[in-house]
Amino acid sequence: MSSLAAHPVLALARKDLSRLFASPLAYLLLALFYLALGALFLHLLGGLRSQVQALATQALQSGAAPPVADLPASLLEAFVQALASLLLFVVPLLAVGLFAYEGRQGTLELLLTSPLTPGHLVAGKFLAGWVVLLCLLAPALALCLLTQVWSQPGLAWPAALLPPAGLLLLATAMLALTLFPAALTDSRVLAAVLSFVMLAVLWLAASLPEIQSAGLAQLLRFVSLPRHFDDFARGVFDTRHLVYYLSLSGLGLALSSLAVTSRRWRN
Amino acid sequence: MIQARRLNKLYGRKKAIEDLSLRVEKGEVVGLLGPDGAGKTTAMRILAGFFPPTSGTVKVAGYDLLRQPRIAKSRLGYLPQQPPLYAHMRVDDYLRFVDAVQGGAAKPLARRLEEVKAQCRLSHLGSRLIGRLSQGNQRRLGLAQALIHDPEVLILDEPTEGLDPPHVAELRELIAGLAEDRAVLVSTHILPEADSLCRRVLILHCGRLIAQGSPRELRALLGRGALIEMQVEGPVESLPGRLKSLSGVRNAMLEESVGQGRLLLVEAQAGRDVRAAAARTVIESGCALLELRSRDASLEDIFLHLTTEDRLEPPGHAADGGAKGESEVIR
Repeated sequence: MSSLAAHPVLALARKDLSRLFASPLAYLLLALFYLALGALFLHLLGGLRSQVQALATQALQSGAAPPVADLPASLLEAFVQALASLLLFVVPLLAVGLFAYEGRQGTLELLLTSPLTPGHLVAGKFLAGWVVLLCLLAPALALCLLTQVWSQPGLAWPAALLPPAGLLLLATAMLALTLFPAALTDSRVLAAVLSFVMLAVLWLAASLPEIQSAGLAQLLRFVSLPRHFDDFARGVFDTRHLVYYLSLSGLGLALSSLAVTSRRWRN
Repeated sequence: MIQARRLNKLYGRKKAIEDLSLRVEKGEVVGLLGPDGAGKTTAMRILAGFFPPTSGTVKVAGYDLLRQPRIAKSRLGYLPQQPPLYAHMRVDDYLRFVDAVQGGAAKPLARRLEEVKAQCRLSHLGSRLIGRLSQGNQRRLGLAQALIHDPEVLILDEPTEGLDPPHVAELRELIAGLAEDRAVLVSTHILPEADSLCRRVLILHCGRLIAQGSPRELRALLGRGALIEMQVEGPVESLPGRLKSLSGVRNAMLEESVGQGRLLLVEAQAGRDVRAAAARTVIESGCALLELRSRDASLEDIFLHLTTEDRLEPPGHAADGGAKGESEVIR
């Protein structure tokens, strides 16, 4: 147990987590984020109920059969889709915060003159960021599961787990990708802008105006972040989406390791 | 213990380090001296593995820093100019973290932690937040992090920078003690520090090694004799010329006014005592001799002599490492 705790990757992650959670501001922001999540969930629930009631009233007045609405599934889909859009702004800020302060405080000199490899350094930062994302999304995951438990009739178990699992996979891939610009430069603003632009391009890739080349259009659809998320949000599992997110995470981590290596040579 | 051969570092076309070779053995404290911009920090960072040289090799405890970086770096403790501290951590947690990152050492961590804290006089501060430590204690903690994994080689970049005089003396004593079973390379621009702490000094100027040896050897190599300081009053303008014509006088110059009269500096050739002749010349010139003092050339005098552009001839080639006891002025 003690040798595991002394593993450099775990030591790095623990150090970053202790920094992130050292300030009362972190808890305040977390609380505000949780409140926003709750408010979003209630807003979507209220909206869907009104919509279903309106449709039912309309059906009664017209003498038609009441519409069949899968309210829990629609609620979960709308909720995780809204959260996925929120991640576009949250993840770059988190990733940049993980790297930028090392350069600012001069502690990067300690890390780069230690026997740590760039892979260790990136893995430690990624692990810390992932734990923070898990903390941020924990209430959302809990709300998804409660929706399943309280729904009558409930969703099938695997289908109920897929929207939160997809959200976590999407967040993981986004974090790994945004560590790359964060590791590339000490400038927080530049790293945040690069991260956001990179995610925005991947987000909007499939919805770009008419692309003449069929090959290019197919490629853009393939790299589109939300397109692979849609099935998860609907509770549909497809191995291709899982492979896509895992590959994207691997690519992000590999690029980030290269960025750390390049810092040594650029100095 | 640490050996660098023909290191070069280019920033674009600018040569930050040129053909630098050095060697530091176990039991030695070697000082790297040089004015601001001489390339000391660049050299220290290359030797610590922060970035690679453009060309050349570094070996730490026999391991090549570029080819076997993990094992070479595990044998090395490095204190950068700005101690690499995390303000939010507590002293003990920080040292445990550094130990994990450095890969630990043979002795149990708990024992090493207590030993290093005792060495660096931090024993009572284990649970204190680093951000709340005084500057002196932060410097000590910087040194403790370089020692926690019991390295064979220590590289310390300006370790006493910004400390109060009592803390400076304490830290120097500690560094001298550390060299008993380690090779220690210290960069400094505080010349009395190098004079008192280092067995050998390497003088770096514009990225080039221009001299190396013990302070005593450098004095002898440069042929620097005693310096005579005379406080004189009267028609002093012709005195430097008259003094320079005396046998055994290497140089003479008038300095700024000091209180009553002017300060006249006379540099004797090595092994020559020119005090009587110089005093006689001053009196015969019709000047009053208010005070006469003699002192050996300090490391500061040597340093100034070597690094003042108009006195320095273009260097030829750098020496290929300097073992203990070797000394030379490289021109």
